[in-house]
Amino acid sequence: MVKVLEHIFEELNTVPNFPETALRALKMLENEDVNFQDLAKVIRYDATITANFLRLINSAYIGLRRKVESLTQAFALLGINQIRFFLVAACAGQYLKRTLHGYGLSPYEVWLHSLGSGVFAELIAEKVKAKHQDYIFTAALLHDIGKLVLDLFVGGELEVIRDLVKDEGLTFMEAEIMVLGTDHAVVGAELLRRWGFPQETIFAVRAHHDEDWMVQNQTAAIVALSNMLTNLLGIGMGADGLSYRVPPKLLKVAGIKDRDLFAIITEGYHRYQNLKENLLANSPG
Amino acid sequence: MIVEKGRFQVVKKGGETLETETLGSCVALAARDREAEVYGLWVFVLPALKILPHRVPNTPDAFFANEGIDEFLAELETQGAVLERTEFYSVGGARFLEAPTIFDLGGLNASMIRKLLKDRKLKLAKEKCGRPFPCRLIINPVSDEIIFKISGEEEEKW
Repeated sequence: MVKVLEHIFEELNTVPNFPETALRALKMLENEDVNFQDLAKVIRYDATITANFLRLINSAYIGLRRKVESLTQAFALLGINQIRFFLVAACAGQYLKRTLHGYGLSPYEVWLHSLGSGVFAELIAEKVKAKHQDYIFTAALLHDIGKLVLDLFVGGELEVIRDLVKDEGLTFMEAEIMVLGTDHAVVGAELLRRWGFPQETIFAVRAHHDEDWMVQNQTAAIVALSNMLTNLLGIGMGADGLSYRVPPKLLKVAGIKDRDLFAIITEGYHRYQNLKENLLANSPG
Repeated sequence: MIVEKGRFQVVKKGGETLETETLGSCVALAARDREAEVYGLWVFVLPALKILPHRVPNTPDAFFANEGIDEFLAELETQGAVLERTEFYSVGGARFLEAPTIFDLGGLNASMIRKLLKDRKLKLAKEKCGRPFPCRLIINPVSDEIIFKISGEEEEKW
């Protein structure tokens, strides 16, 4: 197992850094009075991020009346939380558009799962007026980034992992730890730590399948819940599926009343579907 | 043709293949009347509209088992199916290993469709619901096959 862990950590080193431009922009967005001209100056030098950002907002459910063609035009129309959300989403695409054979996901499904979780996180954060919306969006969009690294290793042991889930009643994450010595949440958190993301974002990624950790704070609870709802709807549901436990306190810590859960599922699905359909329609090919 | 969640499609023999996306806790109900050569596929998300505190705008009835079933059955009949001899198959309804009841959407959806069919004296030929793993269903109206795929296992043909 030590040998496997060594290989996993070697693989971690091969993942490209999160774009410096985006990290700088996110830092600027911590200030509610950020100057949007300055923000645009930082982002526009990265053509990929700029193009992805504009494509996403033109595809989104936010009801823009006309096509937005520049960053400054976009910033004038969006709220600060929406800017954060679409900025991270614009960067996440480059990591999350890859086949994950071990988890049984096509690049398209990996990307949809990330977007779906982000959409649910945004909706829940809005409903409960969450304090740390910036951490929530980033963690929700990147929560499965560790699967990128573990995929190869999970693929080789998938049968053993699934048998542990089926026969021993372990969660998929517990089975990953038993077989590989680590799990995709830990690996994802480590990647975010190396990239310099804030502690609360790292914690939420680390906690998204851990039933004790996910109820430690609202950010972690909302991120874990967003992932669960995305999986309940089958959106980019990987081989791990629903092989997890849900702690009884989750909704309370997230700030949601039981009776509102189904309305969130319905509304979130509409938002996601809208975004997906528009992204497909605006896809370059 | 992908049948999205909250939608249904009915085709005749030789028509386009009908396929679900990954189902999660949603349930797909497949219908086949071999004599009339009619095939239908419906994917619903929630058991009933009344579990929502308020109706979410633009949500079709087919999003809910209770509200969508009669519309689906009516479309099958319009296409020539005779419901009494039609075989129904329900799949999906994934469930967490352990969760508070409110998260057991898969269990709720599976039992709701069982009840709704029973109330209408219709037969459920097979049910494959409740596993935690992702699954899909495909109906091939050319080969007359209904194919059930669950991640990591051999597909089943009915």
